[in-house]
Amino acid sequence: MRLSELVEQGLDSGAAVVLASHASSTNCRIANNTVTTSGSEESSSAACAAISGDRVAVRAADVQAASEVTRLAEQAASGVASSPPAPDAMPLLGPLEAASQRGGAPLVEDEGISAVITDLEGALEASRREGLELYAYVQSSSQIELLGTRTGVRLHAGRTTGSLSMTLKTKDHLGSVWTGGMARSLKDLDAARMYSRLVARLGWTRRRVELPPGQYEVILEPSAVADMLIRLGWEMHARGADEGRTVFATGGGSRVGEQMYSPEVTLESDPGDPEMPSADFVRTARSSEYSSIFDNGLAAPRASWIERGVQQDLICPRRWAADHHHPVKADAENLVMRGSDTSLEQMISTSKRCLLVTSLWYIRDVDPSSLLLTGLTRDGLFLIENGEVVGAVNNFRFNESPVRVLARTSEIGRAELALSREMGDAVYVKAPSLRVDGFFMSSASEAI
Amino acid sequence: MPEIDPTFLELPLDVLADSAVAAMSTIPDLEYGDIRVHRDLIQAIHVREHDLVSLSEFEPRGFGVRLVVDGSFGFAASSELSASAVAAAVKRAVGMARELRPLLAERYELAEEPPHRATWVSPYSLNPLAVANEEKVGLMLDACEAALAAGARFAEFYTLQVQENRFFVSTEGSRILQQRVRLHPVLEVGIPDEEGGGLVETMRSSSRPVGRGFEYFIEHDFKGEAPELVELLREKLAAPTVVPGPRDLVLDPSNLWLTIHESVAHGTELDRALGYEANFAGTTFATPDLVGSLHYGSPLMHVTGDRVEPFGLATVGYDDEGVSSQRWDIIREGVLVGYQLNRQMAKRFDQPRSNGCAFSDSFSHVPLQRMPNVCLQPDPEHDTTLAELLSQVDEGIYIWGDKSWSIDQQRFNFQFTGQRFYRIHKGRLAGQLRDVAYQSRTPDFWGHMAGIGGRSSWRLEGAMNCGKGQPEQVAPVSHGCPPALFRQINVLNVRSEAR
Repeated sequence: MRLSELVEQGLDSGAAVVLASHASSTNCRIANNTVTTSGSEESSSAACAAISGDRVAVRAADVQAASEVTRLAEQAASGVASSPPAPDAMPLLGPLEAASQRGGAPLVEDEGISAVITDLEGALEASRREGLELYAYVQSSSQIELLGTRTGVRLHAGRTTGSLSMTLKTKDHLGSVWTGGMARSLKDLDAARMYSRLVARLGWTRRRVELPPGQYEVILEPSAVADMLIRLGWEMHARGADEGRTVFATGGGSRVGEQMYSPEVTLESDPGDPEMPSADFVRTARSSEYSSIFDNGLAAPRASWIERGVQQDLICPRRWAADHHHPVKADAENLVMRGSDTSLEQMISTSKRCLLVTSLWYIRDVDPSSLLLTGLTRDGLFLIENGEVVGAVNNFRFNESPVRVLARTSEIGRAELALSREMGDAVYVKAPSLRVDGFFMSSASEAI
Repeated sequence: MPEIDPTFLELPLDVLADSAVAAMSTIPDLEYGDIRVHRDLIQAIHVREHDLVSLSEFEPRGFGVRLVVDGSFGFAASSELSASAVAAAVKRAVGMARELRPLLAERYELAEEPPHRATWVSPYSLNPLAVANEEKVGLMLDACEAALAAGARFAEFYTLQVQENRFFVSTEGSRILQQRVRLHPVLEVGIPDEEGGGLVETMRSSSRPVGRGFEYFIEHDFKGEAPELVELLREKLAAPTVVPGPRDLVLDPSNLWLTIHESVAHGTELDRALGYEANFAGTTFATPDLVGSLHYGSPLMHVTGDRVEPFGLATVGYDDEGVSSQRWDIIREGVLVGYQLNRQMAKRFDQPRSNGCAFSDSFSHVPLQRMPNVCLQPDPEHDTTLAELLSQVDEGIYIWGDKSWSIDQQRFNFQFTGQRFYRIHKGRLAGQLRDVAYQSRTPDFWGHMAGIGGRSSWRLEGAMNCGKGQPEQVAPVSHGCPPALFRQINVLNVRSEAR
């Protein structure tokens, strides 16, 4: 069943908005130098929204036949009359007001994980031979979505992603290092090179250095930066600022236009980035602070969130924008922090004494007013002295805010596609390494 | 007694099962195979102040086939409920198992389990999915209106409701039909903190996620609780900020459950202990060589695992490998004595049988060893009350409700906050405090447990969204506990941490 048939069936059955998707993925997990599980899945789903005046009702399900979409559309239609008025109601966009279709039909076939099997086998053999322990996860996935509205909007979006993460441990578990990467295709990831990097880093753990909690100059590697940027991005909605609920609020207004960060910091979203192309239009089956079901099809072009350290406009759906005199700003699906030409190796070589942070873990909000987060360093915290890594440091719990991190950024490295340790490949982030002054490691963790 | 939803039985369950067993029967080196058919009915309602923000209904459904071929694991899933889709999935699963066979260093083996042919439905009076949306939205709006009338600037209400149906058939002869419901209604009120620059401070209702029907929502009386919450939040905003340092803590079950979840329940998952989660969720300090000798905490500590606790979020008749539900000891008199097991872990741990901890959150995911209900048992000898625990504290803090939580990948260093914090002065509550977090190391924290409440103070709390695995899966789980007293735990001031 083609997605276009599902969409047209839903619209013919009375739905105002239909969003149909097909997803497939393949994965494999490795632990203790052996494969533990693998999986291959595919699914098709559809969401139908009935809209009557300012009322809306939505039903969604996994589907395999057009008749099931009819059922969803009919259920939505029967629910709309009893729904209260929607606070975000707006006229649906027409084809001329909505985004334009960019490019041709997207690539949507899941390529599977065969592209890295040989390299993984090589890494496993090497790990066993060298008396080490390899843990890994590889995933290939694809998704195509088609949006249709009764006002004539027809837009499709497709995305393929390959991601690979690996942890390498010494047999005594006193040394543990992690790396991860993501790309449009697993073919673009070099698993053998990633393994070699881990072996080199595991060598750094031969000398262990115990350090106390405190404020440290750190170099955050791209994965750690990605986690901070994702958390910051979640707060960047106009409603939260207007209502005094986020770090972007002041007593009586928002901090848009304020120099909140270091002048070196520029953060954008770019759906056209060739390394991480994303949909450039809104498609949603649920309204929130980030998007409105009435905004389906709204253009989500390249956006600037932070420009030279100054906070730019926040995400704002049409209704909230109209009622509160803000520019409309669609939510975006990738984050790009502008980098420099400086490599991580150069940043290390120019460091007098600082910590190198590979990845962060178990990050949670502590205080929304400052966006204070807590979390831990994990699988690769190293001490740099006089331009060289001199040993592995005990892990720390940190209590830090992404806002403070970006305000105290003193050097920015080369940007690359970064795999968030916590969020995986759900979010595309291009992040550089950052040198940050006074990063607060609040307590020591003996976890390795 | 509720019965299996007939709309689930209308799916071609037997066709799918027969197709899977037939396709697997043609694999010469098949050692094991099963098929799970899932259908969930999920409804999420979000109300704010005077408006319905969203009402989402989603019905994910499909099947997953799992098999073992020559010691190699294979799994494939599809949302297409047809015999041909099953045959194709079995072929894909076999293909992956064979492709990955050269990478194996260890055979995938399962502990024995007798076949079961059964139907199980969780107890509830009112299926939340059967209640009219107008009624649910109306009750939620009423509670928000009551909060606003009491002076809240913001009032927000989320209700998540799930009906979960599963059909499991294995090549060993099991054939199991199940249904359970769960819901989590939560009201949150907000007031600007004028002292704190006008930014909003919030407080949540005392409701918790439960394996019950909509009767729980009705019994809770959110409309009645709303003005009380607003008043409590006002008190909190006017309260003094905490002075950091070591403090005696009395933790209410509404707070302690999450500390149990993170520091004990995740710490006693055998797959973690054996490294299966080392690349993602992490490992644990409670390694198998320490069973019988590791002093996890004070001798007052008796922790059980179960999948049978009435209204528990992890309670089922049978797990996702067809193992019947059980109850067992994990920590007895403060010493580690057991683990959570699925059939693969049981085999690796030389146990005769799994204790039924396999769970998959979707037809499209592999069942993993997931957490059962993990509960701290009450004082067996005396029905100690909260007041009696408080009376043992000269100067300390009583913490109610959960909020922020974080723990390291070996389950040592953790940090938690809460909804409300009360100063304990000379054995009595002496007004609220604010900005409190506590941070500790798991064995130290549990080793400092100096008092524990009795049976009457024991409460079942829990979470709908425990995360683990790659691809990541979420699982509902309950934790029962009484209030407990902990001596000299490190308290932080979150405001000063942010400076």
